[in-house]
Amino acid sequence: MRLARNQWDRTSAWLLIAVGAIALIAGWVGVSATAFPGEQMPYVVSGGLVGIFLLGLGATLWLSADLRDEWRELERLEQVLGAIAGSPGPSGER
Amino acid sequence: MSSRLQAGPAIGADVPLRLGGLARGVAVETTVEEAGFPAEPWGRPHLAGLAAAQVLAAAVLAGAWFGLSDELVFTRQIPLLDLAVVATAAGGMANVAWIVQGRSAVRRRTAAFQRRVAVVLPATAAAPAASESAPAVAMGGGIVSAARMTRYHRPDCPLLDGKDVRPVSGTEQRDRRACGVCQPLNATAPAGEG
Repeated sequence: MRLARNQWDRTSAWLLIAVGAIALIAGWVGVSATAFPGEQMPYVVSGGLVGIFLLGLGATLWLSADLRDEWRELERLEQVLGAIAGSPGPSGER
Repeated sequence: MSSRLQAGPAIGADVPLRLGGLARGVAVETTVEEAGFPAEPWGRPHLAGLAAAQVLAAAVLAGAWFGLSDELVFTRQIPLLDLAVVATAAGGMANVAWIVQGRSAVRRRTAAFQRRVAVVLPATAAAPAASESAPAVAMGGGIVSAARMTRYHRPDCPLLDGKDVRPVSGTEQRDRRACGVCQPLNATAPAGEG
């Protein structure tokens, strides 16, 4: 639970990716069940496009988490450097 | 987040930063144009833009789906299908813009950090070298690393802060590369200049 709270972005990313994959599979099953294009199109949108949309959002959250990690690491290094130089880093005093 | 944003000057402010307390009383003044980084690589306008784009895309997708469900004639479904594809593409582009913005901010901060290292480390690392006849760090000796590290460092490298390191043997050194920040093979000019 604590991991989910601390890593909310990665947890959400996995959740979105899982839901997106399920939507894709459900869309495929729905399209396969009928031979009429008019009946297939709702599944193409609700399964296919929504699935792609959720996968994209999940991937974005995951990459954002990596960038946040880099950002925080840079902040930490600036503080170390600030301690060496005897002055606060560009981030200011925190 | 907001307190951090208010604490420092805005990004892009041209603030001279005096680095006091350096070794041998050297006072170096440098200009750090990125003074005052926010708590995250993105600002609120970026977050608002991404959220708006995603909500809009989701709303259009939902609307297109409802419209498609009510219409069974394929040729009349095509405009709604096009709309749904455009909404998905727009959401994807907003995602790409978000990541590009984040990467750009991290790159700017990394560059600022490297410039600051170049200012601070020569003054601190050169102090012992000036008082000794031999270089402080010689090839194969006086360098440290840890089991999972791919680079070797000076013992006083800032990247080693809080890490459990040990001296590196010649064999281990061959399997690793020199740190780009402390430049252990160069006794007098550390810190990523250029």
